Amino acid sequence: MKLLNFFGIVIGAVILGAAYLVSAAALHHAQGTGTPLFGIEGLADTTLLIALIAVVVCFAVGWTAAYKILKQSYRHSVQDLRQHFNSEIRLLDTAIDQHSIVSVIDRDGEFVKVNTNFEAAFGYSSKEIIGKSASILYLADQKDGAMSNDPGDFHPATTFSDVHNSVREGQVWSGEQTLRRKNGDIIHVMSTILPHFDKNGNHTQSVSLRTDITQKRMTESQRQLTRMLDELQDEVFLYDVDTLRLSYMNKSALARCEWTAEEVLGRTIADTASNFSTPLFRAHVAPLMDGSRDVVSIETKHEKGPVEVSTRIYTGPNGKPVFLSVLRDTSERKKLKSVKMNTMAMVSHELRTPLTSIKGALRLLQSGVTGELRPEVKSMIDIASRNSDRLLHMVNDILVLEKMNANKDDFALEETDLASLIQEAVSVNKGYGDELGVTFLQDPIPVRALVAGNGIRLMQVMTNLMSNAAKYSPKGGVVRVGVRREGQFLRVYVTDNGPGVPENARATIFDSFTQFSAADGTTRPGTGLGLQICKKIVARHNGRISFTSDPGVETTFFFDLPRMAGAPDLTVVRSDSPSVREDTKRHHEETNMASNG
Amino acid sequence: MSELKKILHVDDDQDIRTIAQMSLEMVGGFELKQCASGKEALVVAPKFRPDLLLLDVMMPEMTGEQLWNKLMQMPELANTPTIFMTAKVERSFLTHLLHDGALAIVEKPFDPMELSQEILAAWNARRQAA
Repeated sequence: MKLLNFFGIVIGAVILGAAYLVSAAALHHAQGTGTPLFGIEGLADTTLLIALIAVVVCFAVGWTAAYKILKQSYRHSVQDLRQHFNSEIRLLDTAIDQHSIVSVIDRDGEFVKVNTNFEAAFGYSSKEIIGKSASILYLADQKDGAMSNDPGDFHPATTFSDVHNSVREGQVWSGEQTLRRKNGDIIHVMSTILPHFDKNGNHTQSVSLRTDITQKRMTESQRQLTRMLDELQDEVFLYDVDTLRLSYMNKSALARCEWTAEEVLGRTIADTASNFSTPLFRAHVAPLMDGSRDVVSIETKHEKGPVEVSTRIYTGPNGKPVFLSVLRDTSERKKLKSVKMNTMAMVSHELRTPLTSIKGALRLLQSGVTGELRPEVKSMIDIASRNSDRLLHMVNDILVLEKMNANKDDFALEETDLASLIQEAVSVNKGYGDELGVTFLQDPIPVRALVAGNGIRLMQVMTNLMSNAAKYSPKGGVVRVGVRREGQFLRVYVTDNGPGVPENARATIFDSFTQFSAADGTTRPGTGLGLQICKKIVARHNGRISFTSDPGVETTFFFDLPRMAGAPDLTVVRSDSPSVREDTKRHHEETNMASNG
Repeated sequence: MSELKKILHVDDDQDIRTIAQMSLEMVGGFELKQCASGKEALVVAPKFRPDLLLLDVMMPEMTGEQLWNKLMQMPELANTPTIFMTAKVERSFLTHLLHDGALAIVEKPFDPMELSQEILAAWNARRQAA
């Protein structure tokens, strides 16, 4: 441009110079020959006139040319400048586009334009999101309320209209947002939203610039979590629900596997134990996946000794569910348990030996082989005998409880028919009932009622419940026993018409050494361990035990065991007594289950 | 197989020996000899030549099982039917003794009025099986 300007000036100067030379020559000529023009001396000569005209023309032409050239050069420079600016804006655009998640919405809040970062960050293609309302990104606008568990949420409850309204009033909105991706995952962003208005001041568009800070947020909360978890004695493992890929192990967990923190990433939970079985693991966590349980626990063996593992699902900072397993080394506990077990066995043995002599001596006295006894002596002997029996029951019960607490291997579950169990229980306990003047009556029972059970232990439960019912029944009373279906469960029940369970005993009736006076105020002999044993046995069957009691009218103790898969439906074959008040009773039970469960 | 007459009872507990004596002699009518330890039994048994051994399991110095092994090595006593008495009622322990050839296991506390019947029942069951 400058060159052109220079040329323009030079050409102008040349033309001016030429004009000057011509006019000078004409002047010189006029001075030599001269007739004055218009009567003026020296102006008479036409040559001079021509020269002057030439000067003016030349000057005009020169000026015009110079102006044109100048204008041309100016235009060029403006064009250059515009190009420069344009490229600079393009560069800025590209920079923003590259760096930020950009979206443009119209005055109604519907997407007009999104960039590729937006597509990547939110998982929507621009095709599917354009025309949609921006509220689909906002957690607080989602009806299913998929909220993040992260306590650090900054604007968890901000709705789209909150933001949109403040922007429409001309304010730039800026802050952290917790939004939702197309697949439901949480995304943390830093957002700046600018409004655009037309000449009349009407809001036309808003431009949102966002930066994904999920990773940063995650690492922050992870750091926090890590610091806490690292100091735990228990071993902690965090891993993906789908891929089982580990994302974190605390210090004690790393020590078990002899890994460094870096070695964790890229490995799965299956790498932590050589005997890890993925199908078994999937079966184990199935109740977590279907939501039927919050936590599952298992006692198992690791290369380094016995362990107990509790697993739950935890929603991570990015909103993705992960498995959180806490592993506890149980070798010490196992050792203690076996010491305790041995102690219990010893105690039981030590107690049984003197009891053998006491009971033996009393029995011989009672039998009369040592000579006839006076009635008052005999009644004293009977008291001693009854109480030595009671002591023996207690010793036996304690041993059973300890055994059940100590080793679980002793408890094999196999296909068991509750119908035949009940029939057997009725005949086994008949003698005891006769002693108390109580009749056990079997309600109509099905042909087969199959559960996975341990016959010996279930018989123990039956005997316990039936002897309790008999003990608390009035003389000449009837105890009804039966089984019926309750949804996915089979319910075995023992019903008596005794005084019932008083209100104040209901909460603790299944605890150790709970003995209470029945609603009639009398206590029956027992060890106080029977129902606790029942509860443990039923729990081992994945069942539940409970009772309903209408004092003085009817008391039912029952346990529910899961029906065995594929078992045929119950069909009633025998009908000893009509089932009455079935509906009202069931309703009553359900209300009670809720308060007991 | 002959009738059951002579029983050797070994138990370290004096009182239990007394009860068992009354039970087996007075109620059952057997000829009974009793020892307080395995050591004593090893001396008494070959001379007494019992038809049946009734051994307590948990005894100091020599357990009932150890005594049994020693007695079975004596030519006079080899294959003498043996019943164990124990207050230790763990199932695994019981099956192990029965598996090794014990005739029966009597649980303590036993009923002195029933003990003789129980022993006789086991004796007869064995004779039938033989």
